[in-house]
Amino acid sequence: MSAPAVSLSGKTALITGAGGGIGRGMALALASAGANVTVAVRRKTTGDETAALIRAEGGSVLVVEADVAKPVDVRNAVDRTVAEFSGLDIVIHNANAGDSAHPVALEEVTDESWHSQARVTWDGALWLAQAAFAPLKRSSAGRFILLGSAFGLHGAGFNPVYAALKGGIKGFTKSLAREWGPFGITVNAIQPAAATEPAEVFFNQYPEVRAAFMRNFPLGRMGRPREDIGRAVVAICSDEFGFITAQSIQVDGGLYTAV
Amino acid sequence: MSAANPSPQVRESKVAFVVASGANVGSRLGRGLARAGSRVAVLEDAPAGESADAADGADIIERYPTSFASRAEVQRAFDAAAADLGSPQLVLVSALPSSLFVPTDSDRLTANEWTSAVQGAAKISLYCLQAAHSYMVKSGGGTIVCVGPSFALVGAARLLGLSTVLEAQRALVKSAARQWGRHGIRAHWIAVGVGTNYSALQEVPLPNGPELGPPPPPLGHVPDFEQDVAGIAEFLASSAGRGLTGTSLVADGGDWMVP
Repeated sequence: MSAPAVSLSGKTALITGAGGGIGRGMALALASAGANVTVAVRRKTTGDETAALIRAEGGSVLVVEADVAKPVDVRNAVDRTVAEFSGLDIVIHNANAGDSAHPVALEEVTDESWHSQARVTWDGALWLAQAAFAPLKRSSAGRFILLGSAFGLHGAGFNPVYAALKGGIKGFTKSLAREWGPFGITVNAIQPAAATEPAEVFFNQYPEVRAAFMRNFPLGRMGRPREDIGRAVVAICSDEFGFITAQSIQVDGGLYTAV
Repeated sequence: MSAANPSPQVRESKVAFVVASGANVGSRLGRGLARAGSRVAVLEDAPAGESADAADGADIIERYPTSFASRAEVQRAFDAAAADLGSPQLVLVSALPSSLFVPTDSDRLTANEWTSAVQGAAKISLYCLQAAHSYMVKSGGGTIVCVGPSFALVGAARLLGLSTVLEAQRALVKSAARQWGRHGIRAHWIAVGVGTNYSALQEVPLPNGPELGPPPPPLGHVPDFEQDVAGIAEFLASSAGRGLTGTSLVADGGDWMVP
């Protein structure tokens, strides 16, 4: 492994939805910085793939099968992490229902389509916060990070359910940060724009959109899951970011600048 | 031009539906709109007899007991009101379950409290938007305004669910504005200072504004549903507001002055 700019040696991180995309990128970046990493995934095969990449670089990793919509699964993932690595310092709720790239007309949104996403984005966030609260309090520098989206800021017409749920994550972040601040735990959200598999699926389906969208990035491109998003998360987890909490941080190459 | 003699552009006769949860909220908003010349239907889940000031304004607003449990029930209430008053040009939504206003440690929230109250509240906003759309898309447009307590913009400890719902509502409104603008439908969100507007929050230790010293807002008073918020909604729905959509307006007397 190359020498990391920031060391998280001795820290332990748990990431949901780390079987691919941004979650995998963050897991690799955190492991590269020296953290023990628990990869919590719904399908173990995807977690094993992430774990193999981490181990190939000499990192320390645990794979736990967990549906974040089920409190018992989430608590099991936290408990196994604490048992394996003797603590938990960093928790990242990255899992989502994977529907962000599907256009939806607001007037056609059903209860079922709402629940299928909310159970992962919102319920998963709460179950994870509840399960992780005790070990994060014991950490000297607890970090709780949620994955938001620029959709939640600008209210994408593209997918209103995804926009609403990610907007809600912003409120969740601010209130939990105020509640957990006295315990020394920071709570932040990141709003990434990354070239992930779902993004590629979308751009392959709507190729005319790709070039126009890329022009919206001052840096001229979407982020790379590990190098751009992962490293930013490593920074947030470092001591240098210990006084930053309750923030929704754009990690998007300058895509959304209206804040 | 004085406030007592508003612009003819703003004072336009219209049909307005106020969708409200809990006693008095609908009455105050409804009276404010009715006294400005609108024909007003208040769709509320509090039976008229339970509303402390239900009698005040009974001559100028029509009440429709409403269940918010499903999209069909919300639609039925809209249909009943529209049958009496006609298609709405303004729909004002302030429908938040009282259970969300009870401060609770996040680690003590039960699964039922979270899913029923938080997801239920978010879906009420969704149902109201969808019902409003069903009329406005046929009548050539209209204005939808959702209203919530302003603390959601800054977060509050132990009000995790309410914060989450309100920021979700705000994003959902923006999505509605993006999707339905081509139909002449405009959508906005108003953050209202707590003051006497939300009696359930008056004893809750909410974050003060960022200014040093005593916290009263620069205007010296917190805007009131009837006197102030109804007027803002009326302006947004008027021809004077035709260039605005997807906005978040903060009616807190100048407390936070959000960026």
